[in-house]
Amino acid sequence: MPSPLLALAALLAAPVLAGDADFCIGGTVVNALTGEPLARAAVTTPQSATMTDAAGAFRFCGLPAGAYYANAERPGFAPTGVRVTVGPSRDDALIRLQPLTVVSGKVLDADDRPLENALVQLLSISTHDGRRKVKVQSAVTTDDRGEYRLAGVPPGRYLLRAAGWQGPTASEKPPDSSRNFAPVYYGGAPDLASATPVTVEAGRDVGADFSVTLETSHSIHGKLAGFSAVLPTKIELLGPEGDLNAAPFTFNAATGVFQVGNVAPGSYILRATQGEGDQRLRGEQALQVGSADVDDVLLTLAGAVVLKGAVRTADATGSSSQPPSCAVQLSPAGASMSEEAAIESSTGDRGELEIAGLLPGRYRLRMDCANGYIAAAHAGETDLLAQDELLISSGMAPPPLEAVLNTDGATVDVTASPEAEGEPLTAWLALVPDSGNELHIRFTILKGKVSISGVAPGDYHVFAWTGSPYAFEYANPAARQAWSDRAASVHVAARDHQSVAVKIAAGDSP
Amino acid sequence: MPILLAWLLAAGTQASGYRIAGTLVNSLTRQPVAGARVTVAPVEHPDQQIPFVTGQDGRFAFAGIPRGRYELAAQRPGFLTETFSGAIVAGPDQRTDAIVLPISPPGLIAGKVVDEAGEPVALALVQLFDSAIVRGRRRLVSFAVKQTADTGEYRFAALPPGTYYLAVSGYPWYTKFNQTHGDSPPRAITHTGYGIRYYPNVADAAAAEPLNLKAGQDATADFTLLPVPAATVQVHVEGGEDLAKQFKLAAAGLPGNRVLVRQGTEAGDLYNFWGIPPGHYTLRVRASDANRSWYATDSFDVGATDTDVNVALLRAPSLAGSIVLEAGGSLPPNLSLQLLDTESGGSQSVPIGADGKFAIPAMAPGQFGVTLAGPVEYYLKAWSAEDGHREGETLDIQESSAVRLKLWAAKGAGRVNGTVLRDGHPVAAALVVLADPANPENSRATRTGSDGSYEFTGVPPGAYALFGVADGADLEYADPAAIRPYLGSAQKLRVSPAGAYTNRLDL
Repeated sequence: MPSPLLALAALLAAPVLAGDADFCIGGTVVNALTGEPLARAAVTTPQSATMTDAAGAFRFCGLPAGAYYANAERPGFAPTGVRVTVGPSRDDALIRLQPLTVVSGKVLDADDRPLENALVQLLSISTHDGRRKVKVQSAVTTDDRGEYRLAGVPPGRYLLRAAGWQGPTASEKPPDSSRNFAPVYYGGAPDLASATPVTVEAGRDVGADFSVTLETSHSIHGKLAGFSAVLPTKIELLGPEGDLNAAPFTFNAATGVFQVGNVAPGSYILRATQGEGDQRLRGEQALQVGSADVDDVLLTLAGAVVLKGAVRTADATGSSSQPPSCAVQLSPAGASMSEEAAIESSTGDRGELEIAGLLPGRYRLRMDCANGYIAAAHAGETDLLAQDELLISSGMAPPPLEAVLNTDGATVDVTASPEAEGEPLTAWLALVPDSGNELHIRFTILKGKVSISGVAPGDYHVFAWTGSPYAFEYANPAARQAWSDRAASVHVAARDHQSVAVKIAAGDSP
Repeated sequence: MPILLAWLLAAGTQASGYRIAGTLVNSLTRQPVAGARVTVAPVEHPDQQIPFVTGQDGRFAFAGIPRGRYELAAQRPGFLTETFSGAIVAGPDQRTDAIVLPISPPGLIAGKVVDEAGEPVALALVQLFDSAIVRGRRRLVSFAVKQTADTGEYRFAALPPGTYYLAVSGYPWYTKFNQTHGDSPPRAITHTGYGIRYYPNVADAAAAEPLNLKAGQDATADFTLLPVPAATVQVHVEGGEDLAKQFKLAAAGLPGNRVLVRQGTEAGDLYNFWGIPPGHYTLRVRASDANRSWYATDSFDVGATDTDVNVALLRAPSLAGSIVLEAGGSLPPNLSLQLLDTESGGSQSVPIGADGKFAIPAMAPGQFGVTLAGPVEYYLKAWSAEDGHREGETLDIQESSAVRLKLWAAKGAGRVNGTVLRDGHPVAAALVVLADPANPENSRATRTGSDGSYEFTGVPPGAYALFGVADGADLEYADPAAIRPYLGSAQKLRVSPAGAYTNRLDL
């Protein structure tokens, strides 16, 4: 044991010298649910690593005085760290590991026979810009018993779906290769909108079986126009939510002829992409697969276009006004499972805009300006304050985006109080206009109180919640409706200064 | 389709043609198998299949079949897809209407991989090797690789009966701290690996035993991986900057084969393998973009200390060359060069132009057998390679090499046919060996059809020994020692150019 004098010396010494490294961190790693000690867990500090013994105990020595993160890890548990200060030594560090969950089950056909090589996906639910965003977190295929197993799932809310049949395996050859099933969510829902989330709790394994109906599947035949013979080609079939169907495809780079095979009946968007990044060529077409092959599809590829425009300040009275400074974001609209990333840009010195890399499709526009609010925004005929989506057409330069910035916005001071005593004062805050206009939504972090300036005149609801910033779909009218009783309302006029108090809700989406 | 129709119509021109019929049974229970797809196709045209779906009684029947040799196959979900060895011969006086076809339920090899404390080892690589007679020698062929689940479990389902070997490699999950913590934690954490284990859970490859899987059998093979001091292998790759690279590290293991120790994908130029036990290893790196591939190979020893390995990605090798007729004259159409990958067993067909030239602009490196395919009266007489190593009958093609191949073909291949009899009765599915004593690697074998008949075509002129074996499934007919017992009673045969020989073989 180091003497108090040495400990003092260690605290005073800077920089730390080797001779000062005399302290130990000792402790125990336990299962957070049961309290049982965990043997053979790895405990690490940035400098060293050790394994726990049979009693779950660990000990590091030779440490200079100071604060350390001791991180514990073991297969089947979520890694967890604790902050430990030594000088003097400590032997009471307790690291509690939450067990991860296993989600497993079977995929059976209509005759209750196990289906081998069915794709099962675990989808995480979060939000992006206040809208639900569903992402494939992990995916597995069923084995010869029709069984699947997703291990190491952290607690949370998920969707689970059987996404399709990956084709025949060694034991099952052609007789059935022209069959497939339409994706089905756990619980039986056929689409994302009606699917019920599965709640995964730490250490409580989830059993989820699927019953699927194999139907005669079909092929899609067609030709690409405007393709490059040298760029790598990807032909994808997307479901209504932008989810990828794992259908196999063939493409002849000399003739442009393609085929997508083993497609279950349903509505799809056929998408062809060549190349990468800004150089991509893309073509999309909606199509319906019914009781026959789909023939003679002509898909025309076009390159990304540049959206130009400008933001000007409306009430620029004299030369003293600052130029507009706005962050602009265009994210693919409509598809909550789309893997396409949002495209971001910002205004230049004189408010000019140039957003490159836009492939044909529908986009949602967000603009956040430092010194005001967007009072008007048009792209050609489209009034972007009345309509949220911007359509980028194939192969045509889009009309310029013209926006007007008003600097007569109001200031809203929000004070928040927790719903229950002792809960944290830090929360997420969304100020949403009753008009639903997304260009006027404000989203920020709130620590007890916050002042939001440059608010467009109008009626607003204010929402505050703890936990994940992604827990609440504030841009979704239905989600706002469900939370209306926990919102505060406020009316603001130009150059107003308003105060509003809001209760902080626990952050679970309704 | 039109071709199939053509030979059906041809059959119709005969009074009735012949009939191939019988019952499909489960090889274990001998019960009829319903709802299976049975197909028959001429041996020379396996794509011209006629299908028949069996009813409740498991019966199948094909009527109006022209005289000839046919291949019979059956498939049904829940059973192995099987092509039956030995042709069905349709013709006058042939009894082909009471065939009993067995179809086998699939076998399974499953098990669990645990560590020294009995805890599951996830992400262990379980490799299944199939021991089979390939080109006359018993060889181990890599059959499949599976990764263990978080429970340490693996499954190889849908296996045909056979002789299998298993090898398991893996690494302790905690060696990953090598990456974040370097050498500062105890070496027991950052420098521990697992030695390879073989079925039946032994550490020494010489003590490995075969797992003889019967039809429909569920076999269990569990393994315990034991920790050993290990090193880190740091691979530095030159070239292929942003390309995704596949890394495969293999160790010598079972005879004539390698055991995959680790695999991974990385876009950068550095790849670290942690927890590699001392031994001799082979590293293979492959990088690809949309159109091209690059390769690197290196062999090295790993000892007690961390090892740096530097490899440079080299362009894919190319192969070009020409073929001439030994006696001069123009080449026949439809001649092609066959490259047989000795490791995977796969083959690649290279078309030969009318001028005798052929080329593959880019291919994967490897070792290949060289043969000729096309009109049966032509055979490969000799070949030589520039910028490619020839070892016996094998062509070794390495990264970035531009192999020039010269082939000499000759017209006048012989034909050897006949019937295998026992006590005056034809023996179906007997093995017939045409042994080449001067060059055992060129020995060939075939199976008799349902009428006991056999035929070899494209036989290069020379001296041969011809014999039949009733059950020759295990005979290494390209091994001089293995065929020696049969040579005493074998028929000595000298095949002259364009010679045709009919030989009755008595068992």
